Amino acid sequence: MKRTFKFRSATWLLEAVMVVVALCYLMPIWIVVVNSLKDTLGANRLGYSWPKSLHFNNYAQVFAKSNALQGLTNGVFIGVTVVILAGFLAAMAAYYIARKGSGFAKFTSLYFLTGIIVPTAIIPTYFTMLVLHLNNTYLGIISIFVAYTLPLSIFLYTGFIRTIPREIDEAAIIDGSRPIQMFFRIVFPLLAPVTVTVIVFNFIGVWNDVTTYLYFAGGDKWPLPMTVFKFYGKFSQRWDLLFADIMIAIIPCLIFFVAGQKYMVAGITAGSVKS
Amino acid sequence: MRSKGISGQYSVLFVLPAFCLFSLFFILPNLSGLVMAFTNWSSYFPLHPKFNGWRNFQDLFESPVFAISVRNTLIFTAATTIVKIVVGFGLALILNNGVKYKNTYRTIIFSPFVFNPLVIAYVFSALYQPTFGPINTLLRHVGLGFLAQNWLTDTKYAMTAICVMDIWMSIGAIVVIFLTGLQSVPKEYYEAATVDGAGGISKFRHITFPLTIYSLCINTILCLIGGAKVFGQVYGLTNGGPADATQVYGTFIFKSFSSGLFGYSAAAGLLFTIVISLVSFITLGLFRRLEVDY
Repeated sequence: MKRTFKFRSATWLLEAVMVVVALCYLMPIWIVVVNSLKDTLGANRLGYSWPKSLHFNNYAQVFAKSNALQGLTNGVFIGVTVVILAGFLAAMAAYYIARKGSGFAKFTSLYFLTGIIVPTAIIPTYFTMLVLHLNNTYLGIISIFVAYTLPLSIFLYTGFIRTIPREIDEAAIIDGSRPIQMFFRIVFPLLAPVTVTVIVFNFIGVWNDVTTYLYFAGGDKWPLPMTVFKFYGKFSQRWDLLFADIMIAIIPCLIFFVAGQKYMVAGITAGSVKS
Repeated sequence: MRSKGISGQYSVLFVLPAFCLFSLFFILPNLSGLVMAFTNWSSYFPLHPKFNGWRNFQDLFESPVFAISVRNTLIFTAATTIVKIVVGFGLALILNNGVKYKNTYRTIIFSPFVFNPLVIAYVFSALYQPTFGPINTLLRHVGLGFLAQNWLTDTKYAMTAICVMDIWMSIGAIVVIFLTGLQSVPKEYYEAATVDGAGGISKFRHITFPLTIYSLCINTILCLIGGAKVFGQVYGLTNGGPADATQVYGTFIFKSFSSGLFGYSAAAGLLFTIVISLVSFITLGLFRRLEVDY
């Protein structure tokens, strides 16, 4: 009897801890939401209260004064291109690494692994881009992002391909398929579960990147979250507009999060559990 | 015989595009960093760098701002890593031992993962605002008004403010990894231990801890590398200020780069690459020894 009481109070304590933790996360979002709908004077007081009248006009003003729409287009264009290119290239490379037993395959595996451990050399990359005339071009930004996302994508794909039986390849080859044909018709569709993880993971990475955009691209190529940076510089005393702009920047992320959370968790934990 | 025939089908063409792109934009720059660091390359002569020996490194070690940024990066990395690992493991244990709405809590803590660090930094600069900011307002409300500070403009507290924000935004991934590690421990082990009369603490010491050491390893490396690489959080909240009090390695390189000192920044970058690679390999090796097979 006494024990159950003790046990229960411990459980209640843990529940209380989690409620407090959750509030630490929900309150900032709440403050952003309510203040994005107030007038300038009210919003600058950064309070918790629900606005007396709803100023949806803030959002219209943000769209008029910021380049949020351009940011959305940039973000989607760069993100989608990188995701497609990196996905195909990584899957093909991983297929070779996982299947071929040669020394070169082992070398490539280690070669890409360095990309996970060694940090990116930004300044020398800037020089490379300068020589190739790729600074501040979509082609340049996309190439860099694909190169940066390849190592982890290949790592994820290689682990998955090793679990697919080789007999599938053999059957296809006996049927007379050519290697590339066999890969795209038979193997690639089997990789769908890990492909989704790779897509979600890479897209979030590219969408939220700060460093690469600051170093290698001008403001007209920035994605939506980075446009907040520009907006903040101009309207740092107008929290009504700033919060509205932040809302516009995080809503696509939230939708993406709700849809893809499962795959983000899968991507993060792949390799963190010993199999 | 047959497997040899199959192996021939895995043409090197599969790996070549990825290999070339990765070489051109990752390996080649990293290698050329070894050369760039010893040049006077700057924005005045962007395409004609000349060698100047160890000059850049001498300048770096004589620069007080460089020293501050190294110190700040070390403090930031140590503080955030310790808190994230300890608190993250605690939260994962709580979530794993079945509170109600466990998945909701996990989702909430994990959600900042999809937000840009700059955007989070702007929200926090509102939270930290001295007069109306919700943090100071809350402190005054509960009678702790003397704790209210100018979080971002006081050199004493700015670094702490950045650490708190970083922990807030990135502890979710740490919790998720710990949670997966905890869930991979077979339940039978605990049952067997209970039969043998083991208490909660000895179960933790002899089962939970040794079997989750792999996730501890991954998390430690993630925290260390993430901490050393910190950029957006600092850039958004204080941009190194006030008076370089929160200058970290990433913002230091960006500052030198922005002022056109490319060779100098490359030297700083090279030191960073070497240190981070060494730390990662050493940590990996260290944990590999501690690991338990099951």
